[in-house]
Amino acid sequence: MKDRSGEQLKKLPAVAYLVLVGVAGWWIPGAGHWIIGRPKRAAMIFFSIVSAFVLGIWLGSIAVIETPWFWAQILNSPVVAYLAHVSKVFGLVSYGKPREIGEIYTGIAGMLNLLCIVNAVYLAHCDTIDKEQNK
Amino acid sequence: MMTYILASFTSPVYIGSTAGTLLWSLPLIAVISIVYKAIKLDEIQPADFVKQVFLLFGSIAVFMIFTAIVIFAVMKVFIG
Repeated sequence: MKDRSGEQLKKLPAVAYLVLVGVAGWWIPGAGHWIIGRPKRAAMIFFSIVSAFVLGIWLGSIAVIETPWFWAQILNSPVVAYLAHVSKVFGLVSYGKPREIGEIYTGIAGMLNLLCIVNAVYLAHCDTIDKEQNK
Repeated sequence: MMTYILASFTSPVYIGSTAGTLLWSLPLIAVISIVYKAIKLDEIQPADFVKQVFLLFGSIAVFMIFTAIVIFAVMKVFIG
């Protein structure tokens, strides 16, 4: 279902619009889909990915945000970099099963968000092509 | 209250190394199913969406159980 929430943004140059959709989807999971006018998908993506991430850091604490999983976790949002910084400053640690499960939850949430970003940019690209063909 | 909530993210919860730990995979499978179907379906109708999500959730869960059984059988045969 489409709505008119992102109609103004579609007037941007094609490349700027695609970059905006990609960056928005990275900063806030689902925001890319919201900009291209798919609010239902945006809401489902937002609540699912944020739930998985929050559950992950609740299980293993924010100490699970560490390399090498950091590179998957950062795909959730740039906020993850701040959480990693806070974890380092306070010297938080996490071991064993909670850490494993927390890493898996937060890492997979990040990779799912990458999938959503790619999908949102692709749909935005298709919309741009449709718009140019209708001119 | 807020401090208590934030503090709960600074230390890990207790999770033992039991077979029940595997149940922690279920919420993750649910999230994967919802996100995948949210980007895959052309039209999102609530009833159809829920059905599709349950189908994918079931498929993943069944495949993981099947894989676990096969790995367990292989381990039993070759290692004992």
